[in-house]
Amino acid sequence: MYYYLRKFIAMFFTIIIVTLITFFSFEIIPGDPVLSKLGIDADEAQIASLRAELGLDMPIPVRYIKWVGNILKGDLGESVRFSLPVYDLIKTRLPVTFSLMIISILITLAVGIPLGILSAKYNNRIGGFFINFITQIFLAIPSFWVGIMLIMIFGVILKWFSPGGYVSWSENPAESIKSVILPSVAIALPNIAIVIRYLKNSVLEQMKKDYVRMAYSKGLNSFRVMKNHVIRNAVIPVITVLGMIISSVLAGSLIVEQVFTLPGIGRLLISAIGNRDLPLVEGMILYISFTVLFINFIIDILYKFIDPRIKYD
Amino acid sequence: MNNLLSIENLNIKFKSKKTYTKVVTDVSFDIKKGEILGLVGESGCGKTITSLSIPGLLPKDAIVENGKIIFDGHNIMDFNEKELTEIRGNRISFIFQEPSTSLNPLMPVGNQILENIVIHKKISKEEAKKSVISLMKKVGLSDTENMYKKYPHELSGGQKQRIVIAAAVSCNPALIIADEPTTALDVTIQAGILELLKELNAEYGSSILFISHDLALVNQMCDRIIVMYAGFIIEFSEAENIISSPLHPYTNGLIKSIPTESKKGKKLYSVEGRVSHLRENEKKCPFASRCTIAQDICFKSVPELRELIPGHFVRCFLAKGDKNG
Repeated sequence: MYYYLRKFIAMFFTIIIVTLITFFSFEIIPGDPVLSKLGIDADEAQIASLRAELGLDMPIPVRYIKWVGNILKGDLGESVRFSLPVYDLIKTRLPVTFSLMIISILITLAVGIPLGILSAKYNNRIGGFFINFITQIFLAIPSFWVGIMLIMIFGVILKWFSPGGYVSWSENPAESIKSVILPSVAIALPNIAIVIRYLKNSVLEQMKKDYVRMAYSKGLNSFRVMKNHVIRNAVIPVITVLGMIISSVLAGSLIVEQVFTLPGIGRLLISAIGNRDLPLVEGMILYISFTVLFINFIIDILYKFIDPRIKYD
Repeated sequence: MNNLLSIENLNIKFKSKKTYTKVVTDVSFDIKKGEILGLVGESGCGKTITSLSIPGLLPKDAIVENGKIIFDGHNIMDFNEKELTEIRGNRISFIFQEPSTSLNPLMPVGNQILENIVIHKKISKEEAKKSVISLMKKVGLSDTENMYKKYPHELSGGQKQRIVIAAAVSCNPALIIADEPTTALDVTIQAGILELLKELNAEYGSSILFISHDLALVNQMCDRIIVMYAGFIIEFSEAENIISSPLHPYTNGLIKSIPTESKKGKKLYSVEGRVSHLRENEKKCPFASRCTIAQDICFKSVPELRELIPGHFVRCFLAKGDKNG
C-alpha cells in the first residue's frame, strides 16, 4: 500500500513541477497574445482593456496561482483564436488521439511480444542477423513516412478505405476503428521493432540464468520453461521501455494525425502553435504531460504486480 | 549391488572460435544403487559438465564426441528430448550450487516444487499440493503452509536450498545429482543440508552423485570417490583408500591442503598454478605442468587409468603400489 502512496505522491509533485515549467516558459516566450489578436495597429486603450479582460495585468505569481486554481476547476482558459474554452476544444479532439494511442499500443504489444520471443528462439547466426536487420530498418523509418506508404498502398492502390476520412465512435464504431487502424499501424511499427529488440535480448539474458537450468532439470520441455518461467522474468525490462514507448506513441500520433488528416489533438496543437494561441497550447501541453505521468504511474503499479521483489525503499 | 548408472568413455568438447577445448576425456564410472559417489576436483575440471551430460542438460555449444550413458539398462544418449524430459526430475534430479539463483524469483516456492510433481504424475492439484507440504516438512522446513506462498527473496539461503532439495526428491528419483549443494551456504547450515541428504539417501535408497571441490567434505559423505583433473579421471577408489593412501600427486596435494589440527600454525600446502586443459591431440599428462615430481615421460604421452592396487585406479606413470605413491 505504501508503495502506491509513494508513487502517487511522486506523481503529484511532478505534476506541480510540470505546471510551473509550463506556466513560466509561456511567460518568457516572446510575442504578445493581445497584440496577435488585435493586430499591431490597435490603440493603447483597446490593448489595456483586453489585457485586463484576459487577466494579463496582474503580477506573475498571482496569475500562476489563479491559473492552477482554474485548472483544478476544469477551466483551462479560453482559446484566443477560437474564442471557445480550451477544455471543450481538447475534449472534442480527445477520442481521436486516445483511440489512436490505445490501438497502436495494443498492436505494438500484440505483435511485438510474440515476435520478440520467437526471435530469441531463432537467434542463430542467420536468424539473428535477419531480425537485427529488419528491426533496424523499422527503427530508422519515421512513422509519418510509413503512414504515407500505407495510404499509398491501402488507400490509393488497393482502395480498401478512403484516405482522410474519419468516422467518430458515436456514428459507427466499426467504421471508426477502421479509420484509425492504419494510422495506428504507422505509429506502432517502429515501436514493435523496439519491443522485439528489448524482449529478444531480455529473453536471451534470462535463458542463461540458473533457474532456467533448474526448470529443465525438473523435466519441463522448452515450451513450458518459456511459458512458466522465462517470459514473466523477461517482460520486466520491457515494461520499463513501455513507458518510453507510450510517450513516443503520443508524440507519433501528433505527426501521424497530420498525414491521415485526423481531427485529433495533434492537429489542434500544431494549428495552435502556428497561431500563437498560447492558452490552447498551454492547455494541451498540460494534458499531454498529465497523460504521460498517469501512464507512468500505471506502469509502476504494473511493475509491482509482476515483480514481488520490489520493495518500498 | 547393481549398477544404476554406467558412464562409458565419455568425451565432451567445446568449440571456441577455431579450436576445440576438450573438457571431458575418457570418463568412465558406475554408480551403484543406493550409493553416494563423490566427484572431486577444482573449478573447471569438468565435474559439472560430466554431471550435466547425464540427463542431457549440456549447454548448446558442448559437443559429445562419443561415449555411453547407461541408466537403468538404457543408453540415455539415444533418447530424444521427450524421453529425456520424462527422466529429468522424475528418475534423475538435480540440486544446484546456488540456491538463490536456482529458484525463479517471480514464482512462489511451493509452486516450484509443485511443478516438478504435476509434470510427472497424473494427480489432482490438491493432492499434489498436499504432497508438496509434506515434502517441505520432510526437508526440515517449518510453517510450511505459510512458506508455500512465499517468494524466494523472502527465504534464507538454507531454506531455499531445502526447497530445491524438496523439488529434487519430489518424484522419488533413483539418482540425485548434487552439484556443490552446500558451497554457497554458511558452515552452520551446511551440516544440516548434508545430514538431510544422507537421510534421504538412507530412507528412499536414492543414489547420490555428490560433486564438490572439498575433499574432506566428500570423504564424510561418500562411499567411493572419483578425483577429476582437467577433464580426466585421475584417481578412483573407496573413500578411505583415497584419503589414507592417495596414489596421484594431485590427490596427495589436495589432502595436504586440508586444514587439520596437526597443521595448526603451519603454512597450508597449496598446489601451485591453475588447471589448464590439453589442446586437442596434445600428448602429455594433464597434470604434468603443475606436478612436482614430473619426469620426461610425463610430457610425452597421456597416462592410462590403471588399476594399480585392486579397486584403486590411478592415471599416473610414476605412481607405485606402495603407501606414499
